[in-house]
Amino acid sequence: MSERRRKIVEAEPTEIYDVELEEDLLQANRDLAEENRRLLARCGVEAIDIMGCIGSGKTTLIHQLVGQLKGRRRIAVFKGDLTTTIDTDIIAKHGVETVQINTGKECHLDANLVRKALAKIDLGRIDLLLIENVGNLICPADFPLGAEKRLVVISVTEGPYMVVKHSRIFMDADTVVINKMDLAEAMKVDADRLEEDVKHVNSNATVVKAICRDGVGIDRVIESLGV
Amino acid sequence: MHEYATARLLVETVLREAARRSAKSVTEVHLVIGNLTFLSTEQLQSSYDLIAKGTPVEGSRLIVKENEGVVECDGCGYHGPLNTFNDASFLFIIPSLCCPQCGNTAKIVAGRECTVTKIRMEV
Repeated sequence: MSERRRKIVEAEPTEIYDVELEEDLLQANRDLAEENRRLLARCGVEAIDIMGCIGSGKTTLIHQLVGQLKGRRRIAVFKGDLTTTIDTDIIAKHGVETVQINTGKECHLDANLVRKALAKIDLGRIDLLLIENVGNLICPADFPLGAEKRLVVISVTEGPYMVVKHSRIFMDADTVVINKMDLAEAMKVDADRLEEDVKHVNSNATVVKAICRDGVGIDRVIESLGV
Repeated sequence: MHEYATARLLVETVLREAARRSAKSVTEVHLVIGNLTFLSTEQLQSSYDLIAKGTPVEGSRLIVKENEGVVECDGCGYHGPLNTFNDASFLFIIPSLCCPQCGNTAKIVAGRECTVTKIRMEV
């Protein structure tokens, strides 16, 4: 038998390979938010994402909204916080269903956490969901939750530059509440200027000047949200 | 911090694509980050390096390109960069949703993404 030529296969030297993609890492949250939005719409539930700095008055606002609306709306509240149930306990005294979402170390709520919370309540028994986001004017802007409307609370005690320093979160706001108006003079903050700044960033947003602790302006917040 | 969460997603995406091609290692990852997101490139890089340790992605370079924000106006059909308003007391430009053409509120159509566009690997 003639000797066949042996063929030797050797490993090729390392090849460089380029993979072209178009994968948006933030899209996953947007997709989940859209799923949440569709689920809420199917169940006839209006959801409001309430954002603002730590101490701006988000919980007080929710407390007032629940107090004024519980007679004619079936309400549930989601409360996002790093830890504790202190604020949830305050809201729960109204007798509305509350779900505490402890984010652990995350600085914002995301659509996945809201989706898990939605699974804990009977959506057939409510028609209004108030979601209190973590106190933060930066990160929540990148993470929609699937709420129909977004409301941002700022207060005069945060100073005169909150809108211009954090303009991006106001781009998504349907309603902006300027809270603690009773302290505007003491703080030397021009609330009209703050309102102008909001309108420069987003002329569609409705601005309401309020004193949430005393219930001042809450009726206008309710009117602006259409709830 | 959501740079860490985003970096984790990024490493998972790159590992997945590398595993599909039985890659030995990854040398470069190209990202486009919109300038209307709040992702800091430096923090993203350091979170990425931390999470990539001990994986085929370790040592790969993150190459980040920034995307400008773009708005579209349903009122007048404008499609282009955002309007800005400036305040001399600030060192940065403040973006605005007011349409640069007609002043109505425009909607954002680009500038909020963090997109992986290319992965260079050794197979």
